[in-house]
Amino acid sequence: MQLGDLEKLVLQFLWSEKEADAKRVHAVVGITRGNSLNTIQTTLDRLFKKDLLSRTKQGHAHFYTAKVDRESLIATLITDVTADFIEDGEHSLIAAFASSSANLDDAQFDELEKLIEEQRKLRSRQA
Amino acid sequence: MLEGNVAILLNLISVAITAFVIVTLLISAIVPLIRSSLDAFDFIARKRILWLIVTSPWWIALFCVGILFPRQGNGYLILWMEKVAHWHHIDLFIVTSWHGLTLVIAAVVLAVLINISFIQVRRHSIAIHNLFNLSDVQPIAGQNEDTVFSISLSMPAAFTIGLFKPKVYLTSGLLQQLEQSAVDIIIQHELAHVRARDPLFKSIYAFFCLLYPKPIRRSLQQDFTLLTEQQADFSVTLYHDNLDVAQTLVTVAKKQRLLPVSCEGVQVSHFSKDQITLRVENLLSPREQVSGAKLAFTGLCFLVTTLFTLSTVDSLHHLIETYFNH
Repeated sequence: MQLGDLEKLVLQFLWSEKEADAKRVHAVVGITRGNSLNTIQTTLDRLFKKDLLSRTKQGHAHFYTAKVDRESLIATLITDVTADFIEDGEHSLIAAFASSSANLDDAQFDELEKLIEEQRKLRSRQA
Repeated sequence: MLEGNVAILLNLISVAITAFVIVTLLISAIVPLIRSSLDAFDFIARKRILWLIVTSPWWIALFCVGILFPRQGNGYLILWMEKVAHWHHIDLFIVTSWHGLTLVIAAVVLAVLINISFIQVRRHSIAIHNLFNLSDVQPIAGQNEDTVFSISLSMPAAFTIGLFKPKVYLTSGLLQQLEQSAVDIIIQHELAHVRARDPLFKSIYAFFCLLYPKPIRRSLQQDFTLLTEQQADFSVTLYHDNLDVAQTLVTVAKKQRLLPVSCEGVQVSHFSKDQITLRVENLLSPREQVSGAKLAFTGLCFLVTTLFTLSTVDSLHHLIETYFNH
């Protein structure tokens, strides 16, 4: 997922505010950076299309809410940079301690733990 | 029609491309058959074999170019090499022949692959940049503060990022949910990746893998990833009990499987299901030193592949020119 600097600032603002329209976002984020209202509207629209914001129409204005909270987005970004063999990005630059192991079920994990426990018992008997 | 040194150069590039394709096809056919036997080797041997496999199209192609390079003289060695393999009309090159087409296709494929690599590296850089801009990253007290950091996030995760200056990141969720000894095991594991410069070498390895068909590429990458993880696991056993390392691995994998609801939509890494199992099994019963005979046999296989390719380049050349224009 690609996010521009302004998109990140807008997201961070919407994580702190429950809901805001383009004018409010512009007043807080845009003016200090010298961005026009039009730029802020485009940024909000881009985030909406990326499915990171939801919006409701109230009168003539759209009110935006963060659809994804900070934790979930960071979790997604970590998964993006740690994904080794996903279809879209087989080329990983990272090394992760353990994968999510979605393919292993409880029984298989129990089996592994049993193996470790057996080794411990065997070792204590030999000692 | 081109003549002289330019024609020789272009013909030698044709030799390299033909050899490259033959080796790639040959190795793609062999890898599924020998993959399981790799487990019999120790880490160093396995790593060398994997590097040899992924780079062999390049060095065998160069070897073929060296052998087919035109030489003057009537020495025994030169005559023998002419017998083994030769490239007729090496000083003539017709741009509109199949050789010309081969060069164009190879140039396009190489350009596309280099472009894909750059796009992937850029995509990763953007993801990393986004991650650090939106996260609260702090050095972990008591650890190497230039290298080990924590990220404020409840999801348990630990990873190493960075091509030239790799750094270790652990989420606050992981730090809170595990005991200090388990955290130390994870940090030692990640520092082993830092010392080995695994992110950089994985990237270089991945570039060489790009030229293989997708199923083979996946197998080769999975084997290399498993190997780097097992090596890092092993290096931790120098400081911690191997059973504790295995237990930590299972604990972290279990915690990652039980991600909070807010992370359900997140794509998960596609390690094959037995990667964790293989790592635990390896920790419980480490590999013994591989016998010299096995290594010699592996070396012989590479030699046979090289000689087979050398003879096939020439035969294929003759076969194609039976049907196509020089």
